[in-house]
Amino acid sequence: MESGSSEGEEVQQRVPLRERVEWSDVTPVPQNDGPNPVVPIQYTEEFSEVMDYFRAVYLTDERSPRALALTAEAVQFNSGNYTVWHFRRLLLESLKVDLNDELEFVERMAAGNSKNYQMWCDALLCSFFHTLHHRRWVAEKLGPEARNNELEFTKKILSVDAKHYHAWSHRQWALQTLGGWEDEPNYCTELLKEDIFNNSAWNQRYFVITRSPF
Amino acid sequence: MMNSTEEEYRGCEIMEKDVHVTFLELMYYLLPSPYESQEINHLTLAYFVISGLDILDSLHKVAKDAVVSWVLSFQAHPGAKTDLNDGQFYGFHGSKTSQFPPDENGVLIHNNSHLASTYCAISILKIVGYELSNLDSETIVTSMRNLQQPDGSFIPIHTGGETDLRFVYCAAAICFMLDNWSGMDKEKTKDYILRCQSYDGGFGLVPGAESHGGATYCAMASLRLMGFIEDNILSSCASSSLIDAPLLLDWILQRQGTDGGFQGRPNKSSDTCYAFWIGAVLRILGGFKFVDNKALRGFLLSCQYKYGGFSKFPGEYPDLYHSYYGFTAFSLLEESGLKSLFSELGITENAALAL
Repeated sequence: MESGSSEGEEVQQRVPLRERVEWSDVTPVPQNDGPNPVVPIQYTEEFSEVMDYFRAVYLTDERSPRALALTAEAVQFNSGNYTVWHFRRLLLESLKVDLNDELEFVERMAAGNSKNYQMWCDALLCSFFHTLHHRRWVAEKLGPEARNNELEFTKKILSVDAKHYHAWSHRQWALQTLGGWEDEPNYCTELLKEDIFNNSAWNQRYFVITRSPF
Repeated sequence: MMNSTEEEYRGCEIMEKDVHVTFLELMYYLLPSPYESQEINHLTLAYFVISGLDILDSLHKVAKDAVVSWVLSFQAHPGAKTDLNDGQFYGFHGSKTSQFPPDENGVLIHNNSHLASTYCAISILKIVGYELSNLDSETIVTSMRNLQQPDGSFIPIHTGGETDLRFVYCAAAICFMLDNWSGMDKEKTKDYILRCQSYDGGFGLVPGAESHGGATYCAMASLRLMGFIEDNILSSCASSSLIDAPLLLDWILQRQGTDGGFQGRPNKSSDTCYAFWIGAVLRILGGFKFVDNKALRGFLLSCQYKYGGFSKFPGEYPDLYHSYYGFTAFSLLEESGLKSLFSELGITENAALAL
């Protein structure tokens, strides 16, 4: 399995890792909560198991396709876990994975993530950030060829929620880093025709007028 | 999110303090499994519970020694020979899934200290009355400099991450609470914050971004903690030329909607948490008197849940985050029985000033 391709269905009919042949040689590392945990979380069995196996591959620094697939499962359960995301980036580099596949993975994550985003969109607690930070890393590696991808990706999110703060922030980053300013005024106009009160689109218009190199 | 039945909301005309205390107590003993997806922010969740109990004047429900040792167990300790300029940050880990034991030589190989977790850890310690001078604050602040970027912003963790005003605020709050500003280049930090003020007067999370209630709080609270602006700058019209205060006031006063609640951005729905983010900025500016208190109270009560806690929007199920900012908002409204708030830190005055 590469880059955790079928995790969409997997959540429904998930086979526990301990019952999977390819993981039989790995001893999971349980979480050490210490003697007196405060404000403990009632973990589900699936969550604990995935993180126990993640700890095992992380501590042995196993750079393998199965470790990559495992990080995909782990971020599904724990999308804000920056340690998992960081390890995934190390794996992508070591295994020389086609980063275009990774863009697709992030897109599916972002879609699945949006419910979570709705609940925790505010201030310090946005796990969506980690997904976008990861995407930024991938796009930077791909270079200018990623430009259209990034602009289309944010367009897709903005077609569902035209004021999505982090999608706009990612879009501004993409414009400044990868370019593609030419069509941006038209895009703003398009959005403003749909909703004249869309303040995010007005802000973007100001951003383009004041910062575009043209 | 699902809507709860109308019946569950009927009759909420008072702030049910005792019910909220029970709600937080339940959370203190066990966070339900939906919170596992926020596990990486475990210290932040704990902060909401413990600081929430403090605001509701019920800190006695908490076993302070147990809290202290649990929070300290997340601290990253560099090995004896570690160079604090090695590019890493030695603060607090966010949770047990991001924390790994040091190797046999005591060297911390997997250091995942995070600015937000460190800010929450130190806040909790302060709330339960732990003597912060016992903390190795020199290590925390010295290594925190490794996170500051050339433009003055901060990355939250040494392995990278997005930079924005949230982490500038965390860094400023940490320096303030530890009373040690060697953790940052204050001038650079200030310049970054000022570059986030938008054409409409509010602040965006990064330069160029749309003005946002949370970002505006991070900006104003940081400038205040850093001592760059005075309390109550509206009345002391010596008017710090640092920020455009009249334009900010113009923007922020328009955030109270016809339903009485506060929105985070123009033409967005009112949301419980902005009652704090916007309300606290108004308090810092000395402009809270311009708020329609009665209308705000009415909105918050429409988000109060029968069995305790507050939801984001009226008529939904509550969550810990919005509950906490509901409590802080009621404190800003000077609800009786609640402790008063130190707006810049979002914790009680007693905790902030170690009374």
